[in-house]
Amino acid sequence: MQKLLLDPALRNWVLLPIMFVMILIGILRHNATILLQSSPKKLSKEEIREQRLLQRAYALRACSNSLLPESIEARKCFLIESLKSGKYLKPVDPNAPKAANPLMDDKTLEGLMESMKGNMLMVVPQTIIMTWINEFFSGFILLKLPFPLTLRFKSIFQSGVATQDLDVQWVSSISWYFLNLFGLKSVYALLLGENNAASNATNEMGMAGFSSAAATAQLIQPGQDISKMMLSEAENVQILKNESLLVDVEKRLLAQFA
Amino acid sequence: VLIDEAGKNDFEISLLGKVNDLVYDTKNEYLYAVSQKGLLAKLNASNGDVIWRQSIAPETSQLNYNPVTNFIITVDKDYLYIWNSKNGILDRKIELADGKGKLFEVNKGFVYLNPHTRKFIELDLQASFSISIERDLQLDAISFLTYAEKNYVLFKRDGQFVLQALDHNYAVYGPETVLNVPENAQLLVTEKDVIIYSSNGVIYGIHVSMADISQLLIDEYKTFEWSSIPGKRHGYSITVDSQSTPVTYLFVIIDSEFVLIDEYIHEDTEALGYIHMEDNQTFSRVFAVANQIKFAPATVITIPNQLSRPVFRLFTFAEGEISAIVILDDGTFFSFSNTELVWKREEALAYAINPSILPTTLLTSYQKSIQDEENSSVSFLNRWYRHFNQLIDFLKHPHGFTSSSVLDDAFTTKIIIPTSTGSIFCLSSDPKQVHRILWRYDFNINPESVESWLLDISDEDPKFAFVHQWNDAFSFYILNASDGSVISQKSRDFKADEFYYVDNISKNLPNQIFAVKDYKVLPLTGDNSIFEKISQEANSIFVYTSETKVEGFSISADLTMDVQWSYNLAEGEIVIASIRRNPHEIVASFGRVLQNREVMYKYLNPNLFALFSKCKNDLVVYVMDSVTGSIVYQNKHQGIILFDKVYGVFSENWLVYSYQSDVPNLSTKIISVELFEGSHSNEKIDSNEIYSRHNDYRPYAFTKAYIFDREITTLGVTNTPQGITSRDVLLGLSSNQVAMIPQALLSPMRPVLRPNEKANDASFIPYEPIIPLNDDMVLSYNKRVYGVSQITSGITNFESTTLVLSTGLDVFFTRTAPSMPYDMLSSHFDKKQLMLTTFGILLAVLLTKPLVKKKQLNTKWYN
Repeated sequence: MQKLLLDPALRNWVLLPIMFVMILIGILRHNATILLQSSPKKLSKEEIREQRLLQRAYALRACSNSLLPESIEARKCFLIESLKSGKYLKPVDPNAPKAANPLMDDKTLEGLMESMKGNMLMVVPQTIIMTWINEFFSGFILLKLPFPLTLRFKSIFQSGVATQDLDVQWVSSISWYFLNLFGLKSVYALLLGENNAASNATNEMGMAGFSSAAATAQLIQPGQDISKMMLSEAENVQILKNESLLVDVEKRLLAQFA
Repeated sequence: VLIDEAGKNDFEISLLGKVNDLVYDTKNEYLYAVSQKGLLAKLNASNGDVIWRQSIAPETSQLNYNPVTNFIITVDKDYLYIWNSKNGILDRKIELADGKGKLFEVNKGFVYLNPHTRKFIELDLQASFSISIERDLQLDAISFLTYAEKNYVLFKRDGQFVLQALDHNYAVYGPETVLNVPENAQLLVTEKDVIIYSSNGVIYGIHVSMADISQLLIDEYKTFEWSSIPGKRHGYSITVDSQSTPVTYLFVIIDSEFVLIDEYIHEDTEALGYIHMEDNQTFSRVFAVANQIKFAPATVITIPNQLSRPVFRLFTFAEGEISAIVILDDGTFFSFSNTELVWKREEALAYAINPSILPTTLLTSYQKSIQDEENSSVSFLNRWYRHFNQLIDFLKHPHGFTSSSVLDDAFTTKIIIPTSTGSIFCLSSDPKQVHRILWRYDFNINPESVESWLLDISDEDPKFAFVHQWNDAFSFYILNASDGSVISQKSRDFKADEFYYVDNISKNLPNQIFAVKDYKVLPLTGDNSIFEKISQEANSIFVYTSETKVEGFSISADLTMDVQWSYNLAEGEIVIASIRRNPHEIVASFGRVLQNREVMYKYLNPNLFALFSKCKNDLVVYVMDSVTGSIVYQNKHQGIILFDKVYGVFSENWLVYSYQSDVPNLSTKIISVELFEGSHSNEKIDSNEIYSRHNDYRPYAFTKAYIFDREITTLGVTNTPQGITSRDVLLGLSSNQVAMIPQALLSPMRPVLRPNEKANDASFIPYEPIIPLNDDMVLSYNKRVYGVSQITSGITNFESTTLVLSTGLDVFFTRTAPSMPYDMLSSHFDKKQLMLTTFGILLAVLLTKPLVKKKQLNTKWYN
């Protein structure tokens, strides 16, 4: 059992600054992720109109049992007529090419760009911080791990320490960096709220910053024909049953007290 | 040493040794001194500080200084040196044909006369440069004299002494005067304007202005001593031994006649001097005994002299701030102004022998709090509480950004320095301490040999033991190392053969010291019952070394030497030195890990010692087991030049020694030997076998030889509390430096590669026969550390750092981290850059925060 007396200045000038810098880097990465996201493109009036019609059809199928039977019937007639007639469709551009290549669509490329941005925001800061810690804090023993490690870890965790006989339980600042990298998620959640960019360290897709605008943009998958979707939705609405919770509600309420 | 560490963690005490001659420059308040240790120095006369020093031949006993010019002249047997007195730069070095010449002061400078040749060297010293001219004299000169701006030469012709006047170019000019001196006369003094000779037991004097008349001075003498008294009026003192009592006569020259002014019969031990008083044109007598300086008008100065040491030199001055300088026989240097002691130089430190560094101690409260913390059942919470408190203190005190009090106290300790003059000094290791000597005690006057040990190195009450020995007696003392008080003292009226130190730390017994005389054991510490316990230990074997024999003995119950084994050296072989491991050494690992994860197991036998012996011109090296007497390693080296310059250190399982030889060429060699349990990796023997009395295992020795490009004056080894830090070899160099060689450079397992061959084992540096001395290896950076003859290392509380003390003439103290300071903040850690980086990132976070808020707000409009 090797007992070392460490300089208290190592705690003041190495241990705590590394933790502080790691927290700041996490917050900075969160901010940079949000700033690097593209602004959602402004949709035209016709595009919003057709999307809203589809949303109303979805909502009716999900919540129709809260309406009166007459209300359900009236909405079914209106939606079936609107969806089948196609009067709310966006006017077709005569010059648009048919059967567009899905890989060439703007939305697909935009999605790929978002993924690459997320990856970059994870890889680049890690490389810079690791280099900075290796250059700036090399040669110090910071921690004593409560468990032993084998000799192969010596070159990694005791980088910069020139003696051969030091036990591998004593590790240098690079270990403290890794501990902070994976251990500060709770701190980030406390400072930045849930769904923050800093705590998704292991998210390989990099799809951080999920927002409703993105959800709206992703509702229509690229390459899909919206007119066919409307016809399909009309059939779904047509087969909707007229079951309503309001029918015989008085009788069911009084039955509870019988 | 690193550049930014120079001067911060070290101190040096510049010493001179015992001063032989002294010149006082009253106009500029400087002192120029030459010492027995071979130094020429310039001191500030106001405070005694050294301005510059130069190394000269130790036999130089006189310096010549003319305050009109800026040059000092020293002469040894081979060269004449002219030094610039302002900065100590050697201005001129003149080779002398043989060492029998003499320097004379003439009208406008100095002349070096080589007898029995007709040539001399004129030294023309100006204010800013010096000229040396070799001139031809047509006479077989004996000496030069000068008087009234005229120069004379004294020579012998046809059995008669003749005085010849010279012109300003040292050519023969003017009349010659035949001296009335008998042919068999013995010339005693021929200096400036005075010739003193003796004939038939009578002392005569001749003055140059009346050279044809001999004047009787003293009619009976046995010994003769002469000095001229500085001042505007010429005064001369002659001390003779009349009827076994020294008597001093003071003469002045009045109208070319010697006039007796004063006659003084000395007491037993006195130093005498005269001061010329300008106001009343008289001479004042000054003499010094061991404790006092007495001036003639009943003025007494007290010399702080503990043991009433004899006065070695007394210098008295009529002008300037200093009135008297006293140098005791241990070199202590006192400077008095009127009747007050102005400053004092502890020159006895220049004769240090076997210094010890006490272990450092942290703040008691700090150490105790950590100890209580570990013993508590809630040690985790206590540890957090301690760190939190320390952090609060750190933030409260702004000075915490620049220094750490715990770190400074961790290296503060005491240094105990015994001297061969019989003193014990205690120095503080704090570089910031101005008055470095904590205490000093004198015990004896100039013992013949001094040995010392640290007896008890516990933090509470460290004890220091030493012995002073003479031809027919010795005195043994135990001191309290904190304040120097004497705990016990023993004296015997015979000389002991050897003293032994018994390390009993592992047996929970106090450490002991005993002496051996004629195969009898004499306990010096404790009582006989402890030694009875020691005698029952199976492995308590001590090595007794004489010139031709090595014996291992144990202590029998009746305290006699019980010889267990004996080894006789070969015919003509003589023991030079014996080296033993540091008994307090702790070894951190019992193997050396190779690149392929296999282990070479070290042969860690604490009973090993190394023996150096001389056989004709060969050096024989043994490594022996002190318990069994077997030789585990032996080597022989040829062509050794100086056998008193063989040095070695023994540590763990390796031995490093150095010598000078002319095989294959004249150079310094460093040999590294390392002992392993097997010749290949993963070979291990039973450890219990090593410590038994029947251990006959022969370890495998790996050896490499290196050439070093400096002359080595001593070797040492670094030491840390747990032995984790690599043990590097400390060197004293003849270039007045203290250096450190990393252990990796000296490893005997460095592979010997063919040209263009790749090293397949990254554990060792490929072998290079020459060890370079890089600048960062020099611990004393650009300081001159004169006379390095002993290097002592001490442990600190931090595992990475070793304290290093160099003694021999100067005292130099520093600390070093052989494996880099891995447990403390290094000195080149850039705190400003760290704070700038942190603030930069913080600024980036603060700047991007409103941008993020704005962007998030804009995004909500698309919902």
